[in-house]
Amino acid sequence: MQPLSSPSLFRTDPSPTPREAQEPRRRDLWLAVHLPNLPLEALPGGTARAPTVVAEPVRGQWRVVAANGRARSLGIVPDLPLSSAFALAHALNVLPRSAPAERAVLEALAEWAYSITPLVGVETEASLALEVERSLKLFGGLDPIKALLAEELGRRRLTFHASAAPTVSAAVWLARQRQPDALTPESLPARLGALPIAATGWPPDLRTMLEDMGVRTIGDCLRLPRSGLARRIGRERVRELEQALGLEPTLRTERQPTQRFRDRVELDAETAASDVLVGAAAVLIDRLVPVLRRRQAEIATLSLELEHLHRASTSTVLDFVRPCHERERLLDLVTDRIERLTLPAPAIAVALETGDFRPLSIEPPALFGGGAETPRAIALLERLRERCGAAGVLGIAAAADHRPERAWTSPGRRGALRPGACDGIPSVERPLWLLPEPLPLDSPEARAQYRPPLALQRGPERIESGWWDDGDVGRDYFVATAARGERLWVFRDHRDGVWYLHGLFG
Amino acid sequence: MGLEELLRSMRVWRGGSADLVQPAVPSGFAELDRYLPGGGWPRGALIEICLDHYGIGELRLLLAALARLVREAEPKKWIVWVAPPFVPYAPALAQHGIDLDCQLLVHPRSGGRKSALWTIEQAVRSGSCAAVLAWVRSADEVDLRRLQLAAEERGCPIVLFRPVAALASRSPAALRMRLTREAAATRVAIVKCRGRQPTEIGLAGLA
Repeated sequence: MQPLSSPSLFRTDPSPTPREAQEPRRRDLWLAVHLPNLPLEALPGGTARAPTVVAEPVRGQWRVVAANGRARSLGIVPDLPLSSAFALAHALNVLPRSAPAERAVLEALAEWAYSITPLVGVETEASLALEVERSLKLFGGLDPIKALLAEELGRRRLTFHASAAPTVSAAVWLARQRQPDALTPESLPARLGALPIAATGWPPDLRTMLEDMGVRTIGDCLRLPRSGLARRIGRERVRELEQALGLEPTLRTERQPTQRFRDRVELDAETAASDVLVGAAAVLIDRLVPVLRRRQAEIATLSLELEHLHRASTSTVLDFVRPCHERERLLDLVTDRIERLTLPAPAIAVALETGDFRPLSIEPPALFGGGAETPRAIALLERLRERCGAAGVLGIAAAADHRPERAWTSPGRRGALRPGACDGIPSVERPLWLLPEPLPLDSPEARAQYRPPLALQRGPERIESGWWDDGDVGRDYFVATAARGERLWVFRDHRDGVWYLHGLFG
Repeated sequence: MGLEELLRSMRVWRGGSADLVQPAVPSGFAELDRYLPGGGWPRGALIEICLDHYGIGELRLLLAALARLVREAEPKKWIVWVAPPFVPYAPALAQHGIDLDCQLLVHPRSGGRKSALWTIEQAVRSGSCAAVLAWVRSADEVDLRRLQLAAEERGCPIVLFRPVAALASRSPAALRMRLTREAAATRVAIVKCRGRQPTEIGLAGLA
């Protein structure tokens, strides 16, 4: 390993620690996206027309973090104390800053960015970095990638600036200052040198200290003796500078794509119209489906949340019979559900969160024993369950039990396992209709329908069973004919001698 | 178009027993099939069976045809039972050779007639059903026409069980019958059917 003889920007001092040789490494090209208005755009009501600011408490005093166009035209700028802002604009809309909301926007954008490159990182609280060198060939250059980015960010209504550079930090700093790209490592010192210290995102007191020393740009910083600088601002900051220049490798932990999808869409105005809500949900589904496709995943549950302005949001959960990844199926079910929801108030935003991603199953589990069932059959099942409730849609199966009321079951149609081929099918003829509960023949309904006397045709068939659980029965079954010709399945209970109707021969 | 073809294509109504080509599933009762166009239950039509009492063989009439429809369907299709008055007893169905896996019972929760009719239409239009059996109290002509069209388009028979009083109102159903029981035989009155005269027959051993 040879000590690196780089164009030393730090005069004099030989560095105490030997530097490793920089192996010829494939060049990276990082595209950083900075969202200057993120605090405002991440919040509902942030894009309102009235002068609006986002404020947060800084050391006990509320200060403006971001202001919208109207507010800025009135002279309100970031870092202004809130009281001053109120002096400048009487009817000021103040929103407390929400770091989680901002993070959510960045995460959602990062998920989308996976369609461009597998190396994506959330770099600061308002910027994202994509490593695009390996994607240039696929997309045909940097400009098409920037165009895709512009389109997506426009759709999400976020203002942004994107810059490219060979290192991550350089790209982020350039983007923060709305500078054009610096495409080669050689241009980095000059380009970064021209940036003010504020571009680095270092804390304000550090910036103040450097300004007091007469250091205004990054270039000034780089001209200072390195060890002295390290003593003043810390070795960490010096390393940051070196990493930005590409002199030190930047170690980053690879961001893992999330196992869930969560996103929200804000509506232009409060509404309770289901077609508008369905439209918003469709936008979210259109964002979800490519993520699923890219991840080769499917989801089994989905939760929809409709946010209201002055009350808690309404949420509803959809469970799928079979895990789903198709757009049409998702849209159908979400539409059905939204149309059936009663909203306590108009909604201002729609949020969607999925359950955990599951790997795409190659072979769908068969609901029918053996045959492959079609997506249309599944779709019908889901639509019926949606309308009639899960308990309203059942299958039937035979069970091995002598007691007639237990000789059948209804597995809920959730892809339940088949109870196994029932070999307990009796040889004696059974009625096609069974009453859910045996009806005493003395009861008024039975008397009205099936006037006594009934002519007993066949029987008795004795069924005694169930002593091992609580369903002990001792009955004599007969086939009877009623006055109007109906064929009935009746029994006489041993214990009390009462006659019951249990079935009809349909 | 030749005369034979014209007659066969059901565009000309001929009184008397015309030999009409209409896809049908044999009911398993030769006596009944003789009087049904196509020799069985029509494959893509709305069938109304009106009855006032249950337990007179109303399901037995259909079972053989249902079993056959399920067997033929590739991939497997459902038989949907919408709001049946009692529980279709699984062992009995199995005794008649019906594939239990393909039966779907639906009980519309609320919404009465509208819900039931919606369910039937959804089932038929999904293309994943071999037949739909429904028990509906009342339905107006508009609803029935929609069901008839849906059944024709998808080739899926809809069997609607209604009270006998419904026969008094008009219906676009392709086949309308009334079932009653007399002595030990079930009387099947074919009140309306395409291309044939109304008749009444008695089937013994049905229930």
